[in-house]
Amino acid sequence: MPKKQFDVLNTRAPRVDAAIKATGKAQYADDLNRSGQLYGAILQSPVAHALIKNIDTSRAERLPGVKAVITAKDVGLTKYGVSPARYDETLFAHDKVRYIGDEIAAVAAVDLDTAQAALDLIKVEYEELPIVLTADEALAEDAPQLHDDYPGNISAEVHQEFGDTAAAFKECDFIHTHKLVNKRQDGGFIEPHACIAEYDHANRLTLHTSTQVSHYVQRTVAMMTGIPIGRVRIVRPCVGGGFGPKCEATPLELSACFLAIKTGCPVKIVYSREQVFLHSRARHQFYHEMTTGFKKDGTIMALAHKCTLDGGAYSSFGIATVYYAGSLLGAPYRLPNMKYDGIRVYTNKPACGAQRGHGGVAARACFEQQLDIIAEELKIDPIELRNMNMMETGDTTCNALNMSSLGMKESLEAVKKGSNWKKKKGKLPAGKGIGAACGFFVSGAGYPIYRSDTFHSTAEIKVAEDGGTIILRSGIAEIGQGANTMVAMIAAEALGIPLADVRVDSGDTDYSVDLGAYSSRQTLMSGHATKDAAENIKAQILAVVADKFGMEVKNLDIKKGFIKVKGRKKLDFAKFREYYHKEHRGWSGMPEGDELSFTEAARLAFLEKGTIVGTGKYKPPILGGKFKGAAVGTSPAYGGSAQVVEVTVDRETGKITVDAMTDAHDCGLAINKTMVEGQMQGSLSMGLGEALFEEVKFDEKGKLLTSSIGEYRLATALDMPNIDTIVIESNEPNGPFGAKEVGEGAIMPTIPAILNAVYDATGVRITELPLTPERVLLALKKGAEAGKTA
Amino acid sequence: MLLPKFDYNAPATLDESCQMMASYGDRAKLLAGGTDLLIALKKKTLTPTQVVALDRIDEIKGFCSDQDGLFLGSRTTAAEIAESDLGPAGRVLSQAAAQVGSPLIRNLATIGGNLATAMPAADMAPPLLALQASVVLQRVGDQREVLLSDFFISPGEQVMLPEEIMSMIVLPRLPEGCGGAFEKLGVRKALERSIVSVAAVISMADDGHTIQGARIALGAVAPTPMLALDAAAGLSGKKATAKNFAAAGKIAAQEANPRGLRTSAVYSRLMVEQLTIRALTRAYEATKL
Repeated sequence: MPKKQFDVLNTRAPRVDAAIKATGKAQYADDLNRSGQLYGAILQSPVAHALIKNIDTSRAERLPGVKAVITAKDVGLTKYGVSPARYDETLFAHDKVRYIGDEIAAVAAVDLDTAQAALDLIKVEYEELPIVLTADEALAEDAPQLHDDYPGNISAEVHQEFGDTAAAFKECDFIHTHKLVNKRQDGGFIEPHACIAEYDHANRLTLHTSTQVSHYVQRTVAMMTGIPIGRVRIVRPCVGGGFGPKCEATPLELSACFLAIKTGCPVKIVYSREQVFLHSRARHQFYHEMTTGFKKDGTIMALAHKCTLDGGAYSSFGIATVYYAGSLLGAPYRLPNMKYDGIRVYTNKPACGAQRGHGGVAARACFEQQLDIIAEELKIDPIELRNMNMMETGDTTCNALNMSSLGMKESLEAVKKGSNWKKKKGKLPAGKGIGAACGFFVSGAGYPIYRSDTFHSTAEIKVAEDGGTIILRSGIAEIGQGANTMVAMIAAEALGIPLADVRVDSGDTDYSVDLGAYSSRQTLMSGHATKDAAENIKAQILAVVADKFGMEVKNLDIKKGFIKVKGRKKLDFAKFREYYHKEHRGWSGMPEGDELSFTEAARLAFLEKGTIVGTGKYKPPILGGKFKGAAVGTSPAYGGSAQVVEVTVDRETGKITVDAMTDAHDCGLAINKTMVEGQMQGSLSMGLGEALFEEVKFDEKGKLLTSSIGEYRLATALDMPNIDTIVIESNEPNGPFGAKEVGEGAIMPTIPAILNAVYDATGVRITELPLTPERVLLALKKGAEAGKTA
Repeated sequence: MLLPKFDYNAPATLDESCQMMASYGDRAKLLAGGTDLLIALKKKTLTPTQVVALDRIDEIKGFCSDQDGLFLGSRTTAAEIAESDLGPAGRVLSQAAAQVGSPLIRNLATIGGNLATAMPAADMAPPLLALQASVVLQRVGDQREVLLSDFFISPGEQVMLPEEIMSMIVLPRLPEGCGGAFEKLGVRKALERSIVSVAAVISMADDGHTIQGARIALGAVAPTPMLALDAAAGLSGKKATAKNFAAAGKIAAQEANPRGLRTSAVYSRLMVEQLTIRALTRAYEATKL
């Protein structure tokens, strides 16, 4: 299919925020200061599970410089969380604490020293309770209970069956069961959460905060404070990464709001890195067990899947996570029968939530290894086995997810070629290995987190009255991934003007409704709303032009900043240009030439109709099946990815070196190729870190051991090999200009590709992450004893 | 995390700093590169009322050598040591310095600080032990030289008195035909605390095959950086062969005293064995350069 030609899209345009970030002028939440501001600090529990017998704040209140101390008595006991079906948190613990870090009180003072000193003066009497730190402990018969409302420490439970797995297994020639456990991960973003709240006498609350989801924060703040939502404004300054853990309203934000309300002063609070780990809301620990059945020709018949998630003390995103862990295995392979039993349990640790590849990363790591195990059994090349079972555009999964475009076969072919697979697979020297895997992910969740028919994205474009530029106002979350550049490019393309003439102002709930940066939704959904708004502007301006010069709108277009005319009739604008030149006597850069410029046309439109404003909106159609939980996994479109990884395993130390990564991702139309590659590279780095290094650890009392990014090991630049990023561009009918996701799907194949490569190098399957040298060496020794080592 | 309140002193000479330490005693902490001290201050695990910064004192920066050996100012940074040609003996030290933290940390962290914090995994300790280094400790009107092998006491603890300042690290001149190598095993390739580190220095007899003497030092496998004396002694007079190096590795693994904190003791010993073999093999290669 010949590709459409674009003027702005599908290029490597520099990011619209490149200059302010490169020069250090970009302002993040902690860079913002207000006159008379106070500094907040939060008291967090030093014990993992205890009844609160008494809280005495009197000494703290008397400390000079302290302006307010708040506890549950002041802020109430309204339950909140992510999913309204599982609101299980209060802002402050009042009767019991459930993990080391649970919030009990907050203080505002004239400076941070004083605020922290005040925390030491708050006296809390605890009656300690026995704790549960692992999923097994939580599920034990007489386990200590975290929540009265959720007996058995069960936060959420899923039981689904599609097709008839029992019958399908009977028809299988090979059945294999495999287990995998990952470790609790942290988002590892650069910028810790920070915010500053302001409250005025008109009962208006403004919160500048480092968030991925201004909209949901706005709703939660309104619900918790009782201030009408129209008076709550959330503004997102520059954000230094989120990856999921900034996808919900935090105790930091809510504390700042309540303290600002109580004191009437602006209140700033910033999490320390340790508090980021304690707030967590990042990747769960998953215990997967999968049984997969195959025909001897390689056809996948059925999957029976059990998963337990160690969720920490509260639900956060957990209901969605436990569903995603099952539903995201429905594709990209044809899988007619799938049974899933998932359970998420409460433990006395910080709550886990959503992180890049939400719910699906560990599941994918387990499943893609099974494919390799079966391929070996059947003596089929693992890439070939994947190809044979791959879905195609138009296919629908057994759990009712529709692949409206799917460039998976192209992606597989690209990494096979790009990695020189044929020359390497089975032919590498001892200690070296090569492995492949695939993955896919949603381009935006099909439904909002709360039940609503709301638009998922709206956008507003105002044409500057002088006609030269447009201002795009949107609630989108630019969190470093390039969302502002994406919408600017879409607006420029849709309207037909140069990228430089688009200014983006985003992340403010005053501007539009946008559900935010999660589930890889913004390119598709916010992109659609932006395109809609730009087309609206275009129609308004062309209508004025047509009217003024006696043309038909259908014969007019805007391209590269000029009005284009179809047909024989010329646009007779000489008089208007003369007027325009007179209006700007003495100015430079006046329009010349034989085409009417967009600037003139837009000025004309203003003169005729006043300020030109256009809005756009998007919500997905009704998607998915009718069964319980059918919403989780639905999306208007799915991105796909394939990857080949090469490793060296030091068989004397167990140390793994990743030598090369070849990654292909089907993102539909690449709005900006450089930014697509950036997302691919970032995903691979996060996946490599989770596979080899990362683990949030606790001691036997539930105290966090890895409280810094010194102790918590992210992949460094030296650990990353050069990556070959191959962008595959299918044409997604449901995406704006054919575009879909790349932000999360690209992480899916990394961990299993590494695991499969390690197996190729050693002949040993390792079922626990991360692949530390010690774990690998012990597995190799065990393998050698069993006579398995290659 | 905020720094606690303290007085910041910035003496310009070694004498002046010794005076300060004499009067402040254990209320004061020395600030060299600060890569450990500042973290401890923020975490409030150290709460000095006085901080004495050493960065203005030029006499303890840089290095020089003469026929007796190599003299390194205690405030020489890991980056300077990593990037300098310290001669055949110093090469093993440069290798270790190049593996400290990250470029940012190496630009600040000093050799004196790396020793004075007395961490079992300090990167520069094993090569210095293997090179028979000693440290010069200065105080008002007096100085003493302490062999590094007598310097460490326990994690975080060494023999320095509160009023003492480490001014210099002394490496005796090594005989001709010496070679050394440093091996570090971490989880990542940078910003790593060693799981195990090993430094080996060997000197060869004139025939080029017979080991005259060897020194092997281990990091992160005992409460302090340590010498594997038996492993080294066993090599004396033996040929430089894979078999003999393997035997030395086994002995070194037995000498190690890992506490099984971050990795199991069994794994630590296995790695001592492996890394000792690798370090000896590379040290022997270096003797031929």
